[in-house]
Amino acid sequence: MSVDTLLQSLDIVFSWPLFGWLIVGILVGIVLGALPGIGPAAGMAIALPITIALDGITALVLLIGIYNGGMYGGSIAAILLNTPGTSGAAATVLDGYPMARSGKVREALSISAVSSFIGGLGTGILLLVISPLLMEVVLAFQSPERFLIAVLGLSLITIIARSSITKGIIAGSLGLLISTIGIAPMYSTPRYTFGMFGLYNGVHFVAVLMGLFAISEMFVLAAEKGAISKTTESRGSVVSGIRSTLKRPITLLKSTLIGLGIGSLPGAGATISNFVAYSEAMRSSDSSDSSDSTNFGEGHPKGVVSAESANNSTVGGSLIPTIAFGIPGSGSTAVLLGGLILHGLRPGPDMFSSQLHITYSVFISYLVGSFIILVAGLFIIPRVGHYITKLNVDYIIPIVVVLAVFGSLALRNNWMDVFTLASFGILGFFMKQYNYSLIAFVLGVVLGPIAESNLHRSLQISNGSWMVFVNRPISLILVLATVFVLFGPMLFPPIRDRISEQLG
Amino acid sequence: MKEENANLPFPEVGLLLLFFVASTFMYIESYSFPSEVGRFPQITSFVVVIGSVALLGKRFIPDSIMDLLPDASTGSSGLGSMTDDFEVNENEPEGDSNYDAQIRFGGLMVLYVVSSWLVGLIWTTPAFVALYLYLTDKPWYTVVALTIVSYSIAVLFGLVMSMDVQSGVML
Repeated sequence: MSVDTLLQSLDIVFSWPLFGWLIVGILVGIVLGALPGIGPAAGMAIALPITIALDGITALVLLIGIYNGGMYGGSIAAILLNTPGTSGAAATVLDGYPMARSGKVREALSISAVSSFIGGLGTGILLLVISPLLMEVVLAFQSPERFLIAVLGLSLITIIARSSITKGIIAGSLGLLISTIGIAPMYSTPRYTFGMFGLYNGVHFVAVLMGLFAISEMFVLAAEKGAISKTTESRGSVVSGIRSTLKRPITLLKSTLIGLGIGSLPGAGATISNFVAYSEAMRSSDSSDSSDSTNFGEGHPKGVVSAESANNSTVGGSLIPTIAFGIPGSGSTAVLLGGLILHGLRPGPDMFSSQLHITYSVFISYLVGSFIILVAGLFIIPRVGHYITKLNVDYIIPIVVVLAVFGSLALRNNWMDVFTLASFGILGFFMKQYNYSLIAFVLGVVLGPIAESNLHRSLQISNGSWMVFVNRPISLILVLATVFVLFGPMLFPPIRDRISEQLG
Repeated sequence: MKEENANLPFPEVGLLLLFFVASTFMYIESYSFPSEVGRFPQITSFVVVIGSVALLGKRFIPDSIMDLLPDASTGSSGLGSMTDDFEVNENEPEGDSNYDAQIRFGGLMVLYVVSSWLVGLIWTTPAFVALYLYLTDKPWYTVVALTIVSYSIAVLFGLVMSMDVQSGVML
């Protein structure tokens, strides 16, 4: 780890107004995360064009703040409303809401805050420690490997996302196809512009992101009626929540590592990590752990501890493929990747060499953000959390649309971007309705230019020979991994059945 | 299995037809570009065409082949399924009133975008917010308050981002 760069990054994060933007991001993220159906991805998408007015590091810190705060904020609705604010808080519902029902609202909320803090703190430290190793791995990747990792990332998402393989591949390929509109990378030939100057720079991916994540969500919310919450005020003890969390260090450690590990896999987000951590906590629990003989699913504090520490550490884990390879693992990291590219930063080797101070600033702001979450979670949320969830969705919808329209126009002062926003908002709604993965689509739009330029560069290096994609060990492994991911689910059941028949 | 997979909802058929038509056009058009430039759109549009045809025509595909293809209609995706991190509400529109609310929202949004392009954002923005809140039966004071907020957003963007919010293609 470069100590000078680390100190430089610390200086950057704690400077003003960047630190102020981190606080703003965390608080906005908490509010958005607490509103079921909104979530950090939509908030980050709205904030993205606004970050044009900021420098690159400040923009990323703001987006990380919203992401991190949103992950914690999901637990507020989970505990108060029996509805996870984000899918990463789904397991928190299982014990958080029963705790609230039994009069331990503040205890549940403070367990969530402390667990999220410890998960984020542990992961942030680990990220800084392993960054030199990441650097070595990233530098070993050349153009063929960068093309193949983009393809692998797309194929992983299409499999793990909530859709069929066929629909996932359609969505990912459609995104790649959309990215071909405009001037071709490495050549000066316009494609699919129909002579319209507004399309020469292609479809702006930020407008696409805002349409898919923010506008399509508003369609879903428009069908909701009334306020989200009808619950009572907060009660219980914050101090008992802190004690409850701190007396479970093994659970905290395991859940943090689970979140980091699963978060670093493209496509495997907080939904998986919080359930895996919850299941592990349940499996390893014994009667001596329960001070009041509550079972899991009936308000056991360990259930909230495991789920919440895992989902916030997933945020940190997901930064690894995003920054190192440009492969976002979720909607939020897709928007974060959009932020990187919008500010002229390329994921990959540069982020671990000439731009290492930016990478460290991102990791440090994630780590520092955990402290802000702790303060907000212990001193503010137990008092006012229930007000957030009483907001009526009909007040949120028109304001989000207005911000999205202005945001998209602000990108290039080009009305094509506003039409893109509206079109992809409608398209995104229908794609979600019928299980066409939006993550795969967004990945295609974002990774398309990266994949295509590396494809061309690789073929130029090899004088047109496609063997360049299999003649190095790393690239061969990536090809095999892609084939396995795409065709394994089709081949394994028949092979498994055949083996069972023969054995049986 | 064949019956289960036979009928796609009508809107999904429309979606797939849109994908099919757009990708077919882009595939054909890609041959008008130089070979290196057309390669990527050819590959990607071809995949979309094949995928769309496969889903549109699945009622005609034999069961033995369909069994090899995990599909959303069976809920199976090989390695398990998960939600994206922003997709929490999985509510289907319950009845006509919710679907009407979505149509209303979509219509107002399109009207807002088109009218803003024609005459500028400065007045269409508060009008959109006021109209949406009025149609959703919100108290008058919240309508007024959010209308003022939206007008302020328009003015702020005009000043800070140097955007032309006063005029459109017609005015």
